[in-house]
Amino acid sequence: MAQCIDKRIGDMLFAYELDLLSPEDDQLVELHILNCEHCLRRVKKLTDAVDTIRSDSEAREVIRREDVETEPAGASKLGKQRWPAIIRTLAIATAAVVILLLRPWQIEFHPSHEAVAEGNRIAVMNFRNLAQSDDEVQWGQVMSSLLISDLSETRNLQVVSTQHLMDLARDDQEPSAPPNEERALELAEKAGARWIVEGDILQLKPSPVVVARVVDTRSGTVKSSERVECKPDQSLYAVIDPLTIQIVSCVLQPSLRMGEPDRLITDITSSSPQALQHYLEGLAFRAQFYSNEAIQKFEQAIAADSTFAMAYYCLSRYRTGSERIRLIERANQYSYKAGRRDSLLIASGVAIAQNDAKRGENLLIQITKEFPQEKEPYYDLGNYYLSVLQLKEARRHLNEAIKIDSGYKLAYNALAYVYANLRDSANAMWAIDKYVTTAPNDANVYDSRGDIQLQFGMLEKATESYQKALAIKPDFYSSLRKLGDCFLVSRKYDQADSCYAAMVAAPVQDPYTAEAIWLLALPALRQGDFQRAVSILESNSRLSSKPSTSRYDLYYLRALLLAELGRKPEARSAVDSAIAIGEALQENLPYCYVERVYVLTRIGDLAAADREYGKLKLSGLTPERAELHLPLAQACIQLAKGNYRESRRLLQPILGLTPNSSGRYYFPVRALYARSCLLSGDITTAAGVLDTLVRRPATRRFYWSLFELRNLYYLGLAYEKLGRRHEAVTWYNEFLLFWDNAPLPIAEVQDARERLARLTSET
Amino acid sequence: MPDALNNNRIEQLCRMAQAGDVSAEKELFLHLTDSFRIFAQHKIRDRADAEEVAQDALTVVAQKYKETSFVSSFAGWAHNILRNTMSSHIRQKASRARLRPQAEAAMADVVHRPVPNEVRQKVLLCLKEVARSNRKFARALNLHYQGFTASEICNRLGVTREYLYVVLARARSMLEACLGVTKD
Repeated sequence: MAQCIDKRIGDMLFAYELDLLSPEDDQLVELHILNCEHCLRRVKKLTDAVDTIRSDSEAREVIRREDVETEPAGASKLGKQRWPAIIRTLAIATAAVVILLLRPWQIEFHPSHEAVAEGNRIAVMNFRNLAQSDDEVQWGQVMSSLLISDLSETRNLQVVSTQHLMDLARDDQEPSAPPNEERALELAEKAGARWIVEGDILQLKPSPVVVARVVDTRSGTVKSSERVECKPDQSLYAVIDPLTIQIVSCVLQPSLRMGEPDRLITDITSSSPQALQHYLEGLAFRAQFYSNEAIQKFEQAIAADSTFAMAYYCLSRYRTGSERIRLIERANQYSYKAGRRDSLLIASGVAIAQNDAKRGENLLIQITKEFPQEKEPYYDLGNYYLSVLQLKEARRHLNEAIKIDSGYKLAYNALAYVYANLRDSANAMWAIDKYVTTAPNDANVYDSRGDIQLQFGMLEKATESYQKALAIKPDFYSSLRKLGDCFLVSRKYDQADSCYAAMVAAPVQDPYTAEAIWLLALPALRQGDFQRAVSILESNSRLSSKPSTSRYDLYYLRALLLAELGRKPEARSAVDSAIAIGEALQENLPYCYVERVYVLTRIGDLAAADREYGKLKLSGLTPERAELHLPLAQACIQLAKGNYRESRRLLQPILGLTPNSSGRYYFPVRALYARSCLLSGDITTAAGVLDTLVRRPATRRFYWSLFELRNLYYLGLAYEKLGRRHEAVTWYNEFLLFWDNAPLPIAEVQDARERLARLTSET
Repeated sequence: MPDALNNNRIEQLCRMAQAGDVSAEKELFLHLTDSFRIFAQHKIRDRADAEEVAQDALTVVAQKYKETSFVSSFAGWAHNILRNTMSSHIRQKASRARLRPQAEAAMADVVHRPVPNEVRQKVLLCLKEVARSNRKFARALNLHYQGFTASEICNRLGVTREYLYVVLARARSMLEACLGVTKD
């Protein structure tokens, strides 16, 4: 019998034997024993021992003596014993103070924290695999990663993380290869480590043999050399636990080793070397922002070990909505098999996914406190603050990460976005330049530089940056998309088209394909060729099959375009398909229903729009959601009915609820509000809102192109009504640059042409 | 070593035994006997009583299993029979104790087959070794001896229940190694 059939319950065996379980868990374990021959044998073999431990009074006495934290039996007795010692100590201390005061010595105080941290800091280098010439599993790297995980559980030891070492070795030709002695010393010095662990795998079969050396970086001498040999047919994992014990006893004083947890390596990481290798590769891709490759690797890690908590966690970072929640919950389910830091990270992810942001934040803070010498916790926390736009906190924590590793590329990347959001162009450019210097061969470096340049209005430079990113990695999805957007802004539709077509052809995951498809329709849409845009959406929609938000977007855009073309039944059917996708996502997505109301108003079916609004009202929305979605849906109806004052009244409070320019509603809410103001006679407000919208780029404005381009026309209209003819002419012209050559008549185009002609002739 | 009697296997053995396969029946009942003894002794400390209860339950299983169609699984059904038998035994014993309190109290701590002294000494030595190298285990077990529940122990140690199980599992493995009882 080789294995327990369910290790999670197998771990509860001793708790069962000691009678520590609840009746329900007792039953669970008993059913497990009935089904698991392995555990039945184990229980049988230890029957006498368990009997003794449970009922022998001497066993209790043994444990009472060995439990160092046992509280003293009587305080008064202890008090009596301690007094002479305290008096002696006080006497010695007083004498010492008197001597120090009388002697003309100069006393200097040095902070001890740094020395202690450095003294206990250890870096584990990749092992050399001397047993195999072609190391397909990369045992050397797996071995060091396992040791790092196991040593990291020792609280009094500061272990340099795998990612930190990978970053430090970035300039090496082969970062995953074991460094030579000199390079190892250099890396350890950069990481601030007092100790290096390096070693060789001498044999893998039949019994693994490993030699590990602990080197003191101050003197360069080997303080200890250990050879560990496993039993035949044991895996290399069997080496880790004894080796960890030996390393800890070599570098830590006995007093610091007391009370340290001693979890098995298989209890804190994957027991599959293949899974671990895939995971490490996934981490490397993640650090380069090569999402597709990283996703693939994390999925392979999960395929090799379906209980690998951190692989689920990392994969969840690439997913959204219910899929993300599912993955993070799986990570949480198996987090008992993760180390301390990883468990906290997963717990934080769960809290954030469950909308308990405060708890998530507190957990991230706790990680930085428990692992103050590690840069990643500060980066994670800084990144979290960036995501919730607490920019000053983000800046502070990212700078902490940089203090630990001045070449930490990810921190510079995030910091550049923080400064860009703070509208601090000088520091944003400084941070992005540092990012370029630290990782000049990463495509994402130039992608981020493009983003920052775009944020400060440098369209041409941004275009060049994205092109440079694509020169390094031609299928770099993020740059393809943004380059396409740049071309779209410059009205270089053919080039935009080729970027989006490359995205559709790229081997990416399904949600990205759906996004690429609706992007592919944009060049046609922005030229006013709605018919062609619909054809593109229809002919490519089969390339994406899984329900996702992007697939919903695809169908909804199709519905909007069909409504523009006056193809009412098809528009209704397309919006119904979009709703079906939204519902398949198993999320409460009220925006889907609000958007259906909008399409119904566009095709003139106000009765159906009213019915839809009624359904939305009765759908049990939370107060927060109701506050946003109900007035928005009603505003669409009132606008269509010509009640402009009412729609304006309804929309005004929603502006405050949608402040984030990357949010879904930011753009349409402002566009509808401006239109309501314009049509209800509040021209000044309309002109102000529209002017801001057309000048300030919003993340999703291309998706809402139908709103965005009409805004140009309405802005011209507003300026004309205000008597600012010159500006009106400018915006009418701008509008016609897009839709003037539309193959089918568009009402606003005709009106804009006439108004422009009149204004020009009057001038 | 035989293959794992996994969930499917035990159900399969039951089906084969129901169909008249004698060797499957023998294998099935050998496995049940071992398991039932352990479960009974876990609840009823007296070994003789535990053996009696296990045999009673096995008799019921042997009498009924051929005619029964199991709602969930054979293993679950058989386990239920044992639990019911144990409950009746505990109730009967409690009522006897009320009638003859002194005699029952005197018998309460009797273990009919005491652990041999040399085994006991070895267990105590190994327990000491394990407790020395695994302080959390020592702390948890001491708290358990003092009457704390699992939740209270977790609170005191500042760990989750899963982590407590892992600490105990690790200690158990060390105990096995120390006693020379390998895990197969």
